[in-house]
Amino acid sequence: MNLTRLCTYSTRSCLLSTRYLSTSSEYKVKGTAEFFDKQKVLNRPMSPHLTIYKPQLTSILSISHRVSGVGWGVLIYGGTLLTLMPGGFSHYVQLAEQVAPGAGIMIALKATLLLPLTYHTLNGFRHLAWDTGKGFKIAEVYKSGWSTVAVSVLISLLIAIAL
Amino acid sequence: MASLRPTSTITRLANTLSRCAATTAAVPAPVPREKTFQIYRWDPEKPGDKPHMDTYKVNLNECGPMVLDALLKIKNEQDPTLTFRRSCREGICGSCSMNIGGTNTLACISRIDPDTSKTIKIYPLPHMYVVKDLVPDMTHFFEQYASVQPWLQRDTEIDYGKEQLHQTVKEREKLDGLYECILCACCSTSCPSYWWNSDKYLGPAVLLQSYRWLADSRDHKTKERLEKLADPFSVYRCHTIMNCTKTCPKGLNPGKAIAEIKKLMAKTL
Repeated sequence: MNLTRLCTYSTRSCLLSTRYLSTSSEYKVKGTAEFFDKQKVLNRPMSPHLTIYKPQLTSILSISHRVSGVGWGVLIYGGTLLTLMPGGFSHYVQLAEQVAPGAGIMIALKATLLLPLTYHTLNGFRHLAWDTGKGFKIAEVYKSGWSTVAVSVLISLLIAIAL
Repeated sequence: MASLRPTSTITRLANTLSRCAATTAAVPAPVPREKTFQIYRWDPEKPGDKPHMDTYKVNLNECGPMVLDALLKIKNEQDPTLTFRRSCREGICGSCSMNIGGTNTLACISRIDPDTSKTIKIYPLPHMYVVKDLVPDMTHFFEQYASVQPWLQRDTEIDYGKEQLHQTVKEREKLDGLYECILCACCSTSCPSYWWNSDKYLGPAVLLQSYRWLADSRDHKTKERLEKLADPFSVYRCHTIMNCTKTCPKGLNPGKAIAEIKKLMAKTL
């Protein structure tokens, strides 16, 4: 039970040995609760963060990784649910094809739906490289980042055309 | 004093001075280069004060090259109530860290963009409780630092002053890029994971400092240090976003240091 909860916190920590996760007690920093209570009492404002921090490749690709993962999760579960609906999955595919607004737009639509999957997969390899301690220089981070974007767009388009 | 020097020196000095005076008179006063600064303000002593931006104009011809120069000029000449931390003015004390133009850096080593058509926006370090204006409360950040026990720990007691603890050149090299950290908190407060979980996640600066002792060949408590960090939050809230390394004003790599901690944990524990 405890272990399942830990797994939802961080998938990567579960890839590692789980021995220490169950035995370790919670990390304690002196005065944490008191610090946050004090801020409330003093009614101090929180300095602005997300709204003022410059959007950068680093953070944009990171949030894209998460969003694309969640998005494809939803698509897969949604698609599965469609098979349970009257007529089954193929019925809805046919329906979509009937209202299809032309080959070009269909390819663009398919590529857009595929992009999260290709991007998430390729960016996963970036994370694997990082987990081995490689590719951490900012120049490398940017090179691998832009390459991942370019290659995932390309592959999505190719698959969309082939489908 | 002057009488001791040969007269030719004095003559030369006088000539130089008169030349300088002539040059100054010949050049027309330069066109003022008005740069606009928008600065986050909040005063705890004004009841009901809401955080807001104040606008100041600074003539760059009469101002030093760095953002800290402009802040000091504003404080000296326009608004003495403007509050910020500063000390060394040369990027070694880490006091004047703030959010300038959207990224975290040290005001003292951040050059003012000379393009006067662009406004510079200055905020306190992001997602921190504000004491006043650009001054955030760093108490929790430094408590987190203290929690990693940032000092050398040996299995046996050291008789200080008796002998040196030798390291090979290779062992010493491991500390390069770690010992230079000045704890300005630019990296930690650029990290979205730290924004959302600063109560449980230690953040890039403290983890880099932690790795500084894990990587030290003279320290014997590697396993104990790692065991202390082994929970879902302290280290593993790092999702390799890499805002930390991107923003570090000292050019260090906290992202890499955290990855090395994760590797050590997988290997050791």
